[in-house]
Amino acid sequence: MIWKLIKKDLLLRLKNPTGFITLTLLPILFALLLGMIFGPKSDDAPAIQISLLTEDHDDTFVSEFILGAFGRGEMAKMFQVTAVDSGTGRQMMDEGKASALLIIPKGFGDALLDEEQTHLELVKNPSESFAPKIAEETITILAEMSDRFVRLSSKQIRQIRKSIDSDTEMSDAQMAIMAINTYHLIKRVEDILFPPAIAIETADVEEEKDPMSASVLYIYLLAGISIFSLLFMMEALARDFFVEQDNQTAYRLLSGPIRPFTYVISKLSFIYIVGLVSYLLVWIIAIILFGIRLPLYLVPPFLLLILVLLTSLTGIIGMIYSLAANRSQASAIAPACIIFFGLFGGAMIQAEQLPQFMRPISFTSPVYWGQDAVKKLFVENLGIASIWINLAVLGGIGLLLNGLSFLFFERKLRA
Amino acid sequence: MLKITNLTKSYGQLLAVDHIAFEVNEGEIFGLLGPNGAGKTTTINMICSLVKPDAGNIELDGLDMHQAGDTVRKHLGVVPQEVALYEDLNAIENLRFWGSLYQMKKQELKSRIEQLLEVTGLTERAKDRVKTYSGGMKRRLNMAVGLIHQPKLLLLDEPTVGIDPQARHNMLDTVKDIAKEGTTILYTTHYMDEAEMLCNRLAIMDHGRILAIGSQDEIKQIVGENRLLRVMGSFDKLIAESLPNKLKELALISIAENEVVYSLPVEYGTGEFLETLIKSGFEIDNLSINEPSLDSVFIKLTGRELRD
Ligand SMILES: Nc1ncnc2c1ncn2[C@@H]1O[C@H](COP(=O)(O)OP(=O)(O)OP(=O)(O)O)[C@@H](O)[C@H]1O
Ligand SMILES: [Mg+2]
Repeated sequence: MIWKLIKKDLLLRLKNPTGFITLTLLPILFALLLGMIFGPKSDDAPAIQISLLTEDHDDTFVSEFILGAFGRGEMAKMFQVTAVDSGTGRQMMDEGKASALLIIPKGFGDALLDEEQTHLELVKNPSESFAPKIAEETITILAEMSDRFVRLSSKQIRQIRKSIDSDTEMSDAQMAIMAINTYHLIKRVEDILFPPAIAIETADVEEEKDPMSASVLYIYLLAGISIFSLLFMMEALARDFFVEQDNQTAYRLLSGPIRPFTYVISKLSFIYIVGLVSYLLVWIIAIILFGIRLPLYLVPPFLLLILVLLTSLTGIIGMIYSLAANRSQASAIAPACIIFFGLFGGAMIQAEQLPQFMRPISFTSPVYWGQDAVKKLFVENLGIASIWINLAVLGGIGLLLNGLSFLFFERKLRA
Repeated sequence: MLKITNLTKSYGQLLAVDHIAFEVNEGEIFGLLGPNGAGKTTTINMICSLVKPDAGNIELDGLDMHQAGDTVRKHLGVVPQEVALYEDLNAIENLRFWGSLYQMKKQELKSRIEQLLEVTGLTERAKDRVKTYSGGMKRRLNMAVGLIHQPKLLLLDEPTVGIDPQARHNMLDTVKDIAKEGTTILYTTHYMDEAEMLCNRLAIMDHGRILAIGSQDEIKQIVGENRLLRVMGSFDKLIAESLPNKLKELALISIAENEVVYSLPVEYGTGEFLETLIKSGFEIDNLSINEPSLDSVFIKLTGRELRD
């Protein structure tokens, strides 16, 4: 019987799917948003790959330096470089086979060394907007770097060139002086050359995004916000209580073979199930997209936690709706309650940072116990023993609130 | 079949239903006739256990509501006064859902749905969302839902309120058809003509009390072969009260500030009565004469017209 009622609720919801889906996506949206702002990139997550074709008409060490840069460090991850024969690049671009084509013209290296005006040619794929842009930026930086390198080292380079051009062998002394000079030069330009500037930039960001602390931050935020947004979502579903009262179907159900208990349990179960699915999706997204890890042996305790947590959240919602006499009362009480539990449960500010005298209040909030348990499992990887207390409190709150709401509903539905 | 004894419900100071008792026999249409606020819906709601009685007993086929409420409710079909349907579902989905609550077999449910759509003339619109129905169509579907599980007793609470005369006529025909199929019906209304047209037996209800009960003939006996004479205007209350002394067939039914109601046997002409009125100093604004009917019964019983 309960199942028939739940099925009916689902059918009704699916008749107007947009609203329903938007609603259930609310917590998932938060997970995505937080993940994109704070989340770590998982190692195996495919980064953006930019395919770059290169035609090297110059074939000097300068052009090799520029092309070589794409093969080093961070750049190697971002760019997939294919060297093509002269003249074939354009055609491949026309066929849309790459994001960009870089042509280094003949005499580019010489011109640069002679400090003459020269240029690189970049052909962008018009059908893509993002990747060619990055290629352009990168190449601009590389060109800039080559230019600076040449300016810093022009004396040495001219010497080398002279010796190469004149084909006269350098004396050992000359060689030694040059070696020392080159050493100093390399010391001086090291910062620019190894690693290239762009890599330095990403490396900086990377440092902040130390994989451990980034996931911890993400889990901390997600643990609170997800429960908080889940409460909002479940509250919106609970409005069905008044919808069925207003269109009289609740009374029709109760004048038939449905008892108030059955009716209420079906409604709360529907809210529970939708909440459960939504909350599971939140963590599946966190795991798949943002590389959050949970050891396999902690999966069962986590699932248990979710089941119990949802019971207590359903209890809160049930309580609000069993006490509210009408829609407007409910819509006044509900957000206040949810924000109260969210605030003191540490969804917005870490509960530990609340003023001391407020701390005891946070112990009444399922949001607090829920996110505390999530942290223990995901961050500290503690076993089920560490969350017994959370499970007990959440279960207790769930039993108490659900029990009370059944009582209040019974009184309300049978005048 | 249905036996109500001593049924009572009060809301605070207000006695919505005041120690009423009646019986509905198998196969009949029993009418509960009364004006707005008489307590009809409250009575129905107590029978289907939406409202908890303060006192009294409800029995269906010897089964007591207190002891076997679930069983009793299974045999009841309720058609609430307000349309109670899922407007986002279509007629078939509504009927299927409500039917499924009664553990009906799939095939049985399917053929019952077809049959009811036919009876209520909704077959063509069966796949449209109820939202898009007219008021009359909603009311008919509302009734079909109450019938889906072939209840022993159908409780119909003012099924014709708020629909146009044509649709109302349809509805009454449908009710008759249902009764012919053998369903016992408890029908509440504040329309006298509906009660006269449909009901084998009826109870007249006002202010929570049953004032008269019986077959139509039995009830009309209350006024006997009397006309009801209703006089509106200004008059001396004492003189009005003493009028039956002057005209000995006349009986006083009720008296208010500007209105007095008498009854007079049909064999007496009204000429003498009018003469007496004028002689006694009545200033008559309006005078209505009711031939014996449920209307006049109601006026006799309550001193008011039903639609006041
Ligand atoms: N839930 C309630 N709380 C307080 N008073 C109520 C409630 N329900 C009904 N009443 C009162 O009880 C009395 C009987 O109401 P009821 O709805 O039974 O009348 P009714 O005969 O069905 O009238 P109508 O023809 O208007 O439907 C009315 O005075 C009404 O105001
Ligand atoms: Mg009513």
